[in-house]
Amino acid sequence: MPLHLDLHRACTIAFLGVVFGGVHSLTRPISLKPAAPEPLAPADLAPDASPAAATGMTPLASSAVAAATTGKEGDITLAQARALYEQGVMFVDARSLAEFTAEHVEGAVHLPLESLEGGSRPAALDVLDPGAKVVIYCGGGDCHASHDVAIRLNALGFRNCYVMTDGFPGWKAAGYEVTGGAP
Amino acid sequence: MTDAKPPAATGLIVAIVRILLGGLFIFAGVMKLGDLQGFAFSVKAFEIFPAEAEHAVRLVTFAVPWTELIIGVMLVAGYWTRGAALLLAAILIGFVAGIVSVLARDMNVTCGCFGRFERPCTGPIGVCHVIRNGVLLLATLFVVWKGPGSMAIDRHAGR
Repeated sequence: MPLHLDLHRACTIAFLGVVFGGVHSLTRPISLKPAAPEPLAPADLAPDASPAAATGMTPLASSAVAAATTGKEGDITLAQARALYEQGVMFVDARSLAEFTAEHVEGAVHLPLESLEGGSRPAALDVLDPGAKVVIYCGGGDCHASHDVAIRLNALGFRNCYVMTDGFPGWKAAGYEVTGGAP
Repeated sequence: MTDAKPPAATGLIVAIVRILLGGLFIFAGVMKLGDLQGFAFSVKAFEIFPAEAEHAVRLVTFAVPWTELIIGVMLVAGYWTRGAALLLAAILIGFVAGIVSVLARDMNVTCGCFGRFERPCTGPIGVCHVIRNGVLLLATLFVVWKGPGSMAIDRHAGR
């Protein structure tokens, strides 16, 4: 069998895959970014700890700068996360079970991305209110888990998901409440 | 005739490898199509494409499962076998390159290759995934080399 004929067939199959996938994409929406939550009020910034205090910007201007820097709506600073924590907003830990068990934000629920895959409904969802604000964190840095969990929660009706981009390392470094133990 | 048995045995072995490969990639395609959002997360997390190239992530998210599914069906049926195996080899090389790239950048990423059934490689991407894809690549190249084997439409159609 000539090789060029096999290559031609391989290209035909690839073309079919792209066409089928393209048609399918028209009927099945996927999200690559979390839905934008409602903007945080100025009270949601802790004045003493916020970047605004250091830069002299207004809290909202600082928040806008933070959002513009990360390019993702719903990303919040450590100071904003702290303010929400003090208001009693639930925190969601999107890291692995081993990391959560070792240390996590006090009061946080464990909800890794894997637990939300395949249509499963983890027990952690029972303690979260879809109508309330939720702060999600993972390992900080280039960690994607928080945003991915936020998209999943959006699909489950949670409209106000905020991602603490500094992650658990930032929270811990700030000296805020951490605890250990299994979920 | 002693020269008739080896080809028959080889043909059967190739058929088994071909059908197992095809079945595996039908499964992989179906698992991805069943959780496209999860697969999109995996594609995005690989950071192969720039953050602004969402269209590329969407294209891969939808095209890869369908291509795997079509390849799988063709391998099981033994139709356009070499063409399907050639494309599968190219895809597997792409997967291995992506996985090595993730390992080189020391990223914590899950595979999304078989949905919730990531066996035997569980957890974040590691050397196990390279080995798994390497084994699959060798099996695919075996089919490219030997052709459809027995129990294939290609044999009856003279392809």
